[in-house]
Amino acid sequence: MTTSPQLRQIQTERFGAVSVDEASIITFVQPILGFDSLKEFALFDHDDASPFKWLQSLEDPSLAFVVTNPTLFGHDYEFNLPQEACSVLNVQRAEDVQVLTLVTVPEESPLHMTANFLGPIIFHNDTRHAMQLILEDSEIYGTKVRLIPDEAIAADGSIHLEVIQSKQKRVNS
Amino acid sequence: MLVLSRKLGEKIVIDNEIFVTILDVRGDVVRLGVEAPKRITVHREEIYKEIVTSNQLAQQKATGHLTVSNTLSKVGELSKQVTPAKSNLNTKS
Repeated sequence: MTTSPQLRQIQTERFGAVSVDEASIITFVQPILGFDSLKEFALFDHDDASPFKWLQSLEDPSLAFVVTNPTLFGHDYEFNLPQEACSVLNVQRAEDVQVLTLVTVPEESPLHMTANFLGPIIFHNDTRHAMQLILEDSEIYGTKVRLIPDEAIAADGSIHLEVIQSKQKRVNS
Repeated sequence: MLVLSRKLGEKIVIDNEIFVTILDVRGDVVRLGVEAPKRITVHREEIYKEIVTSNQLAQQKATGHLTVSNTLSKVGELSKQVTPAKSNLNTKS
């Protein structure tokens, strides 16, 4: 039996009025730190096949974050999901959850965008329960990791794809 | 601020459900054990503050939206040419 999706009308500053499927709404059971009162978010693709998504607050129409998975940029980004997080989100297997990092895009130099590796957002694919995890015990992750390295940015502002592709190959091999 | 003296191995109880134990004292380093319900989060202060600051910087302003959006689109061209991401996680910890 299939049920038709329950749609919710939401207002956003960037995307205007949007209908989102209730079942796709992400609920933070532990907050994005500093945004403790905001629980519900929708995840929009930036565009087809884009590595970026928008995490749009349903409670604050003006608030959205750019998010991505850094492995798409050739970063070797891997960690152990702590036991407490597994129980908070009821995670049985690694495939149950998705990992996204918040991206800061500086207005004056957007290509110098950075990702917060220390505080990833993880959410359960089925329950859509989410949390911002803090990788307390990892020494290697920072909050300002460049997604596109300098050597991949040409003088004219275009991007050398091959630099990122070769990083990708190293990580996936 | 409430100030309490505790010996090694002794605890304090906060709000009937959070137990903090002094596990070890070596020079100026104190190791604490925290037992709390799952909904209580516990972080080292400096890491907590770093994440809050980073989150605030990441929040997008509607004013700069076009520049950001165009950059994302430009960078997005990448993804059509890269291999899918493998899983980031191990659930064994």
